[in-house]
Amino acid sequence: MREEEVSVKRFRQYCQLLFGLTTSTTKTVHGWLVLGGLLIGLLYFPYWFGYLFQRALQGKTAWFLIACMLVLAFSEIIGKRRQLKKLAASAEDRFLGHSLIVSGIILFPFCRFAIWPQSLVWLMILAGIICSSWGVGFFYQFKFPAFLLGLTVYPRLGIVSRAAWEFFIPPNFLENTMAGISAWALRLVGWSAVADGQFISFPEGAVEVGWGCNGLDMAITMMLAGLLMGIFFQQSRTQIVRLEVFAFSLALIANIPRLMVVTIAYVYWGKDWFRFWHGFWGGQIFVGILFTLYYYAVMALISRQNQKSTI
Amino acid sequence: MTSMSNFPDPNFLGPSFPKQKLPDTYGAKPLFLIIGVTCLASFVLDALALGLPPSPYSIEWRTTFLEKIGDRSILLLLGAALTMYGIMGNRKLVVKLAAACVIAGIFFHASCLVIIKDSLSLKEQALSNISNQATQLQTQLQESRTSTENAPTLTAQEIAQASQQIDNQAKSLQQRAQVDATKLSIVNAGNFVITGLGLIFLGRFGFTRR
Repeated sequence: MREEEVSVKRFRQYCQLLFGLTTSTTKTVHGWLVLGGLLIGLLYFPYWFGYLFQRALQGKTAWFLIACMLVLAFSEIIGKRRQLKKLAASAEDRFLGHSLIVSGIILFPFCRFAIWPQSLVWLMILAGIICSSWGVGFFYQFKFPAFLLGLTVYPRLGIVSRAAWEFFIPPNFLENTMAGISAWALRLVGWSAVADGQFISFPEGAVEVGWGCNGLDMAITMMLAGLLMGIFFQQSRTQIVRLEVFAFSLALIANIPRLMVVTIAYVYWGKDWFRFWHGFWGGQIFVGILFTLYYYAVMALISRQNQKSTI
Repeated sequence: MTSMSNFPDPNFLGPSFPKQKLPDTYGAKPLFLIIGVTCLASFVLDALALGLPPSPYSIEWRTTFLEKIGDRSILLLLGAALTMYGIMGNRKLVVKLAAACVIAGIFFHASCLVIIKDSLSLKEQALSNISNQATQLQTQLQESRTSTENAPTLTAQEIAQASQQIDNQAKSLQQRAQVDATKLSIVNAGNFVITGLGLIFLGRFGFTRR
């Protein structure tokens, strides 16, 4: 009985708090506009979350990246909340933010056909809410959290990173390099493999190294993990950069044995083995080994750094 | 005549007027106003020439129009900035221009949605065109195998090789089309985002000036 009473009381308190918040926000134009913007965010949220959830069930790591970015962003904002309280929006920032929110609300109904336009409109509204509540100064004082929050708006990080990669790097460069190095490594171990462009060919058959197999996704995930570890262990900036470069190269190097195993499985061991290594379980084993290696390497690096700094 | 007689004021920058502020050195304001209005007028003329007659439902018209506008958008930014300097004393006008800048900036950002959507659908078109042509070639190849005329000159292996070549070529063409489309849309949308940000910050600056 007592527990129930307590929970009912708490529920009532929450209701009152929510009611109070709504009434206090709807007193001003600014409050109404922010509420409208947040409502749009609420409409977009199921699409965003549904996509991430669906991909998470397929063993993709985008949700992990996004969760890390959100945690990092909000931890920094909450850590500096005194600074945040001092920020106030000037009249022109209000005008800018309100125009952004209003145009986002007008545009949103026409953007329901795919995820990306909704995410762009939500980004606009988010920027508007921030501008009209804390002013443009927010983006100066919270550069890093603002950048991270901007990245989390679109759940298909793979496409974003791919577009950025293809903008700078010649087509198929990484795939060709991976195929070449894997074929060379296979020859070292004694298989008669030849690389031809994207293909690793054997006398019995050939395997194409596609976009998903070039190791870039894993490299980016590892880089973020490096960033997270660097922040968690309170490393300096150069050390964090070093950790990230190390993570990137380790992921790409570790992709080569994976490619070798998958190739041999496809050509010689049969379809079931290929599916095992190329699919969920193989991916989990690969990720497990990679992260274990990375963890010990990073701990070694960090402890060496700490020794240096104490001496 | 009297104004002409003392026109080259010997004490214009001299120490005889120590307390007087120099509001406008060498008439920079009207100069900037002239250049700014010229830039704006030329931008508007360009936009009208490119956009008329409007056919907003045609994807080709939209892409070319927005691309050209994006290329010339720096003219709009420069013109607005110079005009703003030119009218700086007039608070009402400056506020109007600043509001127009902010709204134009937001409009530029919003038009990125259209640019990306159009480039995606154009890319789809190009990819499906390439694959259609490839399948056409493949069917022609298969027909030539069954037809009796070419039978003595073409062996099965040659046909298989040719079909493989068609596949490879189509694939590389598609890949190139995809990368090109991505690049183009990034550049176009980037132009609009950057100029839009510039306009928004110009507007903010205008609001803060008295």
